[in-house]
Amino acid sequence: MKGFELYEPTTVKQAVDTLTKLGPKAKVLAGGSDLVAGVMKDWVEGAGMPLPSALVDITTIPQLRGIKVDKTGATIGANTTLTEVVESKALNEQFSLVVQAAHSVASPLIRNFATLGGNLNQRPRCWFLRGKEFNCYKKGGDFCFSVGGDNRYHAVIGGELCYIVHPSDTATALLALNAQAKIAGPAGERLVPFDNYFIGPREDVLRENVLKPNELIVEVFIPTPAPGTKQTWMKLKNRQVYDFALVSVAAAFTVENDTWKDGRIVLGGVSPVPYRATVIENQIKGKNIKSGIKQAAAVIRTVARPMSMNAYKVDIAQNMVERTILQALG
Amino acid sequence: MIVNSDGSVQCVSGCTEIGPGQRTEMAMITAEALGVPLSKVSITTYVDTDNTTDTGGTNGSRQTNTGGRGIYEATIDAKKQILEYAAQKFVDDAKRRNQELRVTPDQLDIRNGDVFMKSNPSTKLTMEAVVSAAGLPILGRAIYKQDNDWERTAWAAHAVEVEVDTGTGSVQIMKYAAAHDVGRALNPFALEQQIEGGVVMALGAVFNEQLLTDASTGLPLNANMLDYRPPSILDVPEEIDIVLIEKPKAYGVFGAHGIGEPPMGPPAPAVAAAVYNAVGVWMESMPLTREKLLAELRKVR
Ligand SMILES: Cc1cc2nc3c(=O)[nH]c(=O)nc-3n(C[C@H](O)[C@H](O)[C@H](O)COP(=O)(O)OP(=O)(O)OC[C@H]3O[C@@H](n4cnc5c(N)ncnc54)[C@H](O)[C@@H]3O)c2cc1C
Ligand code: SF4
Repeated sequence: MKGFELYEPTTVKQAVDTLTKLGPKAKVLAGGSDLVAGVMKDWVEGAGMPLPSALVDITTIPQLRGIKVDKTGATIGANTTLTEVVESKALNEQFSLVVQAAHSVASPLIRNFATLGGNLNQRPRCWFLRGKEFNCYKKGGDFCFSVGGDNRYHAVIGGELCYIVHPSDTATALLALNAQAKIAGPAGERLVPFDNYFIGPREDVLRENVLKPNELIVEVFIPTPAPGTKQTWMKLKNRQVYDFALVSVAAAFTVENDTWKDGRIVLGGVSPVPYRATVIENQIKGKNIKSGIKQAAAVIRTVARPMSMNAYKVDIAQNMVERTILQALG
Repeated sequence: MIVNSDGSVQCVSGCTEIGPGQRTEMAMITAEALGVPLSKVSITTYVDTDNTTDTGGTNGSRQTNTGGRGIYEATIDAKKQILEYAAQKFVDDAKRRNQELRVTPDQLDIRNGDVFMKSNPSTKLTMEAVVSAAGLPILGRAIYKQDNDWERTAWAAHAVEVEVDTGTGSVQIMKYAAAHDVGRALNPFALEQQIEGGVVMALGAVFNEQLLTDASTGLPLNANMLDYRPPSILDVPEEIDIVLIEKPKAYGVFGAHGIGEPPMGPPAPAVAAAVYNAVGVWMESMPLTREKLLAELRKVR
């Protein structure tokens, strides 16, 4: 592995100052399960994805860890581990969606040190990207190997230039819960709803979100869902431990007399960003869920553009949306 | 193999241990063939053909009947010598008591570490006494060359119950049973583990494991444990029912038949047949991935 300098700030301001001073050669380090044990260990690099030569460890900032719940919502510090999310009673009561999503990540061992901030900002798992020898668009090259290659796990919606699927389970759930990120940078703090946080390859193939190199997520805020909100998480994987979502569905919605009032359906594993299926939401809005969800779920086919080997994911996604909503309904 | 003057026994074997307990088994075969408790038997701690015989690889499901057969015959050679020394000692001891006794080796046997008179089992000598009387450790020697009759059928039947989710292509194993004719179960505990392990390993191959390469560059795509996906503990059936059938084989040590590889064979056809019975499609190739299964299902539904 390439050597690096290690910085251990104790305040957010120190961290931002250090990142600003060092420039793009520095990266934020949290649990390190992806950055160090993945990207750096496996030499995942290219002109557009240089390996960092300095790491700014933010786990030394006590302020960034912890869960607070009040009437307005839940605030989760970026350095809170996924295990802490899973074990939080307060989150379980009103925000079960993010708890279930966090619980489906990797394995207990990884969840014990993987942080929420790291989970949201981890790099994609495309096997060409992770393979040292493939210099693709995302690494600054001029080719996407998935288009003519084995793309069985790649995007079926919203791919362009690059066809990754966003790897984060918590991102999928947080978008469904209408959460937002508090971002700290040189100019202070700003709030970005997850609606606008993730960016697809069309906007910038080298990044997956709006963070600048000298910014970091401080915390995540989830507004308290309306009373009676149904929340369900469903994740399909090829292996029950240590596996990313083939397709996942996060649903949070309110119901009145079996009719869909308001809510969100978000899919993971299908698109370069967590994909909010507004096409399905619009179709089911105001309709009887039991009789209408099958037809509504099928609308996914109108937005899907499968590649040569992954059309099966569209069938699965359609099926899982239907099941998730019916399961949430109880 | 060596029988020492303190009655302890040492197997000198180059048999390679690849996990399932081959070296324990060598010691068990020795103990059984000689008639001493297993606790008296040790096996060389090294596998090094400078110091041990070349026992060949632990492969081809054969170590029980090659390395094991060699150590068995060496033990029989030692036992023959021991019975001769013992017969002599019975005679000499009697002479010292001014008695006349006629004892031949075929009138003796060994059980639980003692050499005894078959006609009167309470008349016995300890192994220690016999080997001490011989004055030197007993060296049992044999070279066993496997015959050319390689093709020995391994008989087995596996039965599996699956639940197929036609929406996602997931196949869940509900029940699994594996019956194997093992000839003779020398170490039933290890045997069951070997069969269970074989089934689990096979299920990984049946559902997931395949080394994928990029067609245009020839480079591997999933050469890591994350993407290659060997099964996790949550992916294997909670219980695998194992049935040991014991029909002793003439060619086997104590009638045993090799069980190294046989458990790997039946799971694929068993699962494919169960899937066929459940949803009416025959999966012709491994791995039986959800993408292949969903494609086949689309043709029949
Ligand atoms: C075997 C395996 C299986 C996995 N399975 C899953 C799965 O099923 N689902 C899933 O969602 N994930 C999965 N993961 C990914 C895992 O969840 C992430 O690696 C982990 O959550 C990252 O957290 P971390 O604290 O270790 O981050 P790090 O590795 O320290 O950081 C990851 C990235 O985030 C950036 N970063 C970290 N914190 C911040 C912050 N506060 N602000 C801005 N940037 C930040 C870092 O600069 C880095 O680029 C798996 C990983 C492995 C190794
Ligand atoms: S999908 Fe994206 S990350 Fe994968 S090879 Fe294509 S450009 Fe690279």
